Amino acid sequence: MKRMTAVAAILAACLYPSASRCIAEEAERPSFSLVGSLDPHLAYSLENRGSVFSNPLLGSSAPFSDASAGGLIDGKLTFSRDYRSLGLLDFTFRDDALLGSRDGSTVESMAFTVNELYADLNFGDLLFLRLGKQRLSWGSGFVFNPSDPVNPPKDPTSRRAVREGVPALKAEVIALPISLMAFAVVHDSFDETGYGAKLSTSTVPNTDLALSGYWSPSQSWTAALNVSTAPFYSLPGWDSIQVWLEGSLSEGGRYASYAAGPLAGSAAAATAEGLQYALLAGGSAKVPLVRTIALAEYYHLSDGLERDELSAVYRALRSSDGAVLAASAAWFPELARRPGRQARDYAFVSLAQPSITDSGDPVFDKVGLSASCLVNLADGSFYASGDLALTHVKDSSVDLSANWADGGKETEFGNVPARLSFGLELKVFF
Amino acid sequence: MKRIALATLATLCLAPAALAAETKAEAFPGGDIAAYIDSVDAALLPVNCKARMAIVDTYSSGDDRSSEGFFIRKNNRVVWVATSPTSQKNFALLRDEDIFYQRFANTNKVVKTSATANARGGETSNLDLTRFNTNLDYSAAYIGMEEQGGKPCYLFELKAKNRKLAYGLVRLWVDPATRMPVKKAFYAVSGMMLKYYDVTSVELAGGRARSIGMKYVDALKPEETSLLRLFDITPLESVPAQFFTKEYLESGRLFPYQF
Repeated sequence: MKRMTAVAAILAACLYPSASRCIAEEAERPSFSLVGSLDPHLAYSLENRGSVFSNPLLGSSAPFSDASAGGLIDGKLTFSRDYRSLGLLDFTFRDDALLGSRDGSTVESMAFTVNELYADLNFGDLLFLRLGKQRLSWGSGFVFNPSDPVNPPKDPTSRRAVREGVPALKAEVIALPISLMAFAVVHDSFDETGYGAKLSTSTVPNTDLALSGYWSPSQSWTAALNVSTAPFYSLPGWDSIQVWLEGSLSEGGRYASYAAGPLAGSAAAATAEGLQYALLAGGSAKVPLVRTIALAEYYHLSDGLERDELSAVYRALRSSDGAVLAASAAWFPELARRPGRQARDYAFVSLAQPSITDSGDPVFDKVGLSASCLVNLADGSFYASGDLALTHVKDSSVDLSANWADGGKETEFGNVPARLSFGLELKVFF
Repeated sequence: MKRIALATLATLCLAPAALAAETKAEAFPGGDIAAYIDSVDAALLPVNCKARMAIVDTYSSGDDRSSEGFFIRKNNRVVWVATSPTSQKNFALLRDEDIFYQRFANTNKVVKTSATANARGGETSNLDLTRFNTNLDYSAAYIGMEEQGGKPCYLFELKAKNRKLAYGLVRLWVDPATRMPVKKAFYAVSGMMLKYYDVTSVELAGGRARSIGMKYVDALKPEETSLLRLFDITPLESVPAQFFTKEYLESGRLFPYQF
């Protein structure tokens, strides 16, 4: 991280004497801007006592809370000198406090996260370079991007979008009809540097197409295809219908597979071997007149677990036999790093109403509603969310949310630590 | 009930024919119609230009909503970037010929949207915000002279070239002295007027507009209006085509025309 920060700072300092202008009308003048939001929130959750994380053998490590409060500041600080050079710092500062945990203690934690810190350099109007911690844009999937082997994965059980990027050097040739992006991503060490490229085009009518490849000595290779199309784009009323397909092939699994452990009833984490694939298909449409946006996705992971395997893992982690639990402990971090990706098949549906009315009604024009549900098709468990957003005060919003996870003791969402949770969030934009 | 339905259907079917019969084309005294329409467009907005835009939507309830932004035009490609309200900063609308994309304010995610969608609300569709080349979207016919706002004006009838467009038929009144639009009315395929705008103010410099104000009125609910103001209209020598790609929008890079 220090290395990347230093590199980005050096580059930012080099921005001033950047390439010559081709747009004579514009004066070169450096400028700074800061945009973002201030976001205090309160949450209350009803703990899931049936979760494997509440196994008494785990002692006090159960991560439950009854009530929590916190605040965060999301910001983007931009330094620019025309568009030829740009420096950007995207950060999150958060302070969370457990107000009433099960043992009565109050715990406060503070964190400052640099989501992105990069410098841009442009050469002519064709070649664009970016160096630093950055999110590489990838895939049209809403809950999951199988074609993205690089960015931190999305967590469908978390309301906050993942904004943290990866340290990388990216070169882009943005041209018509085909654009090319090539990049190198540095992970924990330089030995783990990964290299990738993406070709994208919009030459097929009403369709965006991207082909990508990624190779890393530590993670083997991934090849991916991304297509999104609006098949009825020329028909008024039907033009909001869009469908997308995202798929990838990789050598070896991204996630551990199931194997019987050394003790009866225990579960071991094995390596998924051979050619693996992941596939996502989705579609969305806006319902005319009422303006509701409906979205549905289905995805399949070849290295996901079958129903019996998931049951065996959760049974082992709930075991009252300490030896079985210890032999299966590798599954705790493994399950934590694959929310919404533990099983083979998932379905996701979402309905969003940006505002109840759009006719100048002083109350209902500023009330938005949304609801979504992610279903683990292997074990039938689900994670449902509902949200009510109020934007009556200028440059701010109030969000009321509720989440419900359930499905049974030996299922993925039946073991989410908070079975029911409610949130109240105030967001002030600046 | 059946009779009413049949009468309604007949009215809907006959309306475009009646409208067409009413508006018989005449010989245009200004020469080539398409070339004249191009010159009207160019007097309003040069082919390569940048400008700022402010919109205030007023509703019958008395509530209003405002937004501001800037846009860059390269012929049939336009990118519009919001600068206000604060929660919408970084929102962008891209028109690349007949395809529309929008970038969300809080992320750099870019999705396809349609011409008829209303990305920013109010009376102005995505097409209203980015339609600056009349001949691209419409076939124009000259109808005759008609007084509008106390001035004799050329009246043109514009018919949509494809169904992607929000309005099947548009009528345009142009002041021959300045080549500035005075009024524009938008009709559904059935011939029913949906909305219109009156030009409320024009500031001219060197034979072209420096700023212009337009008041959009919902023909079905006249108390609902959008006041759209284009200002700081500045011609540019050249604009790179790369700015009008999905990839550029997705990269989150700046456009060099911040005001």
